Amino acid sequence: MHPRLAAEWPDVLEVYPDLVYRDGPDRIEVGVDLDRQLYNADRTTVGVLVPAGYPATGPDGFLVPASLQMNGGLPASDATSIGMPGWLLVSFHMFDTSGRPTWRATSDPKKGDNLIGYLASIEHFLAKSCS
Amino acid sequence: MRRAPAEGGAFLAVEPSHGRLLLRSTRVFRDEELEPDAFGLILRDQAKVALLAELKGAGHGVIDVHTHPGSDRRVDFSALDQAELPAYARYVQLKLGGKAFGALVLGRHSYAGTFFDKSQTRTLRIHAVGERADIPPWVSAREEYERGPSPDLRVHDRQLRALGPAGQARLIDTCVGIVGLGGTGSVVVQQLAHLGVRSYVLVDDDVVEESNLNRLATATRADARKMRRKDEVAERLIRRLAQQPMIVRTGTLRTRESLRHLAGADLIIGCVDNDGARLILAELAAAHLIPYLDIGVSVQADARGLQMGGRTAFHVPGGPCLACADELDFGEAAEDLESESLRKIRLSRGYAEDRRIEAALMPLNTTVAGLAVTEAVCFITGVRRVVRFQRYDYSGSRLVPIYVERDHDCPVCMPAFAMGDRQQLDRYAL
Repeated sequence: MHPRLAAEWPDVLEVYPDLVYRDGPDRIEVGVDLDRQLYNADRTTVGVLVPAGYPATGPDGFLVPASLQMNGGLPASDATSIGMPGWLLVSFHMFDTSGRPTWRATSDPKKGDNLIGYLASIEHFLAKSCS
Repeated sequence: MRRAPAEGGAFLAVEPSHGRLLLRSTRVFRDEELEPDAFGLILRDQAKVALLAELKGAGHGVIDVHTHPGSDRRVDFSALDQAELPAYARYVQLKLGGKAFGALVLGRHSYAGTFFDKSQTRTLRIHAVGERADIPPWVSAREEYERGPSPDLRVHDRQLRALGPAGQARLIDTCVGIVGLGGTGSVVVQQLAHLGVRSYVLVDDDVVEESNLNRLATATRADARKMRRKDEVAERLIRRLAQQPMIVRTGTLRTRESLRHLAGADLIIGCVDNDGARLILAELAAAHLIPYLDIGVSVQADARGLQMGGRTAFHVPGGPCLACADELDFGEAAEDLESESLRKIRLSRGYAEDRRIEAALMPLNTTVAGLAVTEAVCFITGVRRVVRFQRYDYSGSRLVPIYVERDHDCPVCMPAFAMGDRQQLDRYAL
C-alpha cells in the first residue's frame, strides 16, 4: 500500500468503517448512503482511484457500480478501459474558477486535503444529484 | 569522534536501500553503558541486549561504531577487532533476525568500515550527502585511498589547473543519472563527457526525429533517418570522449529498472519537459537522499512578443525541493502521470486538452544547461557552494538567484525524506 495511504488509513477507517483497499488499479472503496428519491438504490459502493503521485496529485473522479442509476442520468463514463469493467467513472473534478485543481495536500495527512475530505465531497455531490 | 580523545562507541540504525544502507538514527553509548576491559572500553552486555532489542523492534540493521582516538592519518581495525568481528557479527545478526550488520572504526583523520553480508565481508564506505563543504574531512579522506583511474592529463590538463586533482578525481568517480536526453539533456551529456565524468545512467526512450535536429547536441541527420534512440546517440558521444565509460541505458523513466538505477546514482540531472517526471524525480531524490538538479526552459511567442528564459533548481538532500520552491505544477503532474485510457475519458468529457508543441531554441538550452552543469561541477568538486535556485531571463539577459526555504508542509520531500525503499517508488512504474 502507498505509504501516505497507510498513514491516512486509520483516520479514514474511523469515518468509513467499511473501507477496503484494492489494487489493479490502486483504489479504496467505501459504502455511501443515497437518497432513494434520486437513485435506484439506498446505498452504493464508491471507489476512489489513488493516483501514483498521491498526495501531491489528488484523486480525480470516482467510481460507482454500473448498476447505479440516477434520475436524469449520472455524468459518468464506462470504466472498462481503465481496468474497472462493471463500473462507471463519474465526472467529478475539484477546480477553482480559473480551472486549476483545488487539491492542496500537505506533509501532515491531517492537514490540507486528504481522502476523508475527498470522500465527504463525493457524498455531498451525490446528495445534490451530482451538481 | 564526539568522545575523543577518550574511546567511545555508538550503534547506527540502518536499513538496506538499493544496495546502500540508509542511516535511520544514531545512538551514542553513554558513559554508564561502557565498562573497561584489557584493551579499552566495551559496551556492557545489559545495554547491548537492550539496544539490540530496540533495533530489532524497529526492523533495523546496525553498524557498530567505535573510535581509535590515537590513530595516525589512516585508521584501520586493530588485530583484536579483526579477530573478534566475525563472531560478533554472527551474534548480532542472530539477535536482529538476520538484518544487516557492519562495523566502523573512526580515527582522528579517517575511518575504516566493513559490512557482513551473509558469509562474506565487504568494505563499508560512508557516502555523505549534502554539500562538500559540510562533509567532515575524515569522511572525504577515505576517497583518497579508494580512488579509481587517474585523470588523463593530456585531455584534462587545463581543467586540472582549475579544479585540482582531487576535484577531477571526484568528477571521474561520480555516477550521474540524466533523465531526458533532448534539447537540454544532450547538452548536459556533452559537457559532462568533456569534463571527464565516466559513469552514467541514461534515461530516455525517445527516438531522434528531424524536428529535434535544431537542438540535439548528440545527433545528426543520419540518426533521424535511421530513427536512432536518443540514449543511443548520447552513449555514442560519451564513448567518443570519456575514458573507460560505464553507461547504463534504461529507456523510459517509468520502469522499475530506471527507478532502481537512478536510486543508485550520485547525482540526478532532470532534463525533462513535464512535471510528472519532475514529481517522480523529486520524490525519488528525497527518499534516497540523492542530489537532484532540474533544468527548465521556456520559449513563448504570443501577442506580447517573445518571452524566453529558464531556471535551474538544485535539490540538495535535506534542503528545499522543487515543490518547496513552487516549481512543480501538481495539476500538470497529475495529467502527465495519468494513464492514456483515463486521459481519453477526460478528453472526451472536455476536462483535458491536447498537448501543445513548445518552441525551442538551442542557444537558450545551451545557456541553461551550462548553468546547471556549472552547479553540478561545484557540487561534485566543492569549488564553491551551489546556487540552489536561479532564473535566467534571456530577454533581459539577467541571471537571478532565488532564495528558497524548505517548506515543512511540502507533500513531496517531507514525507519521502530518507524513506529509502519504504517510499515504494515502484508505484510509478507502468
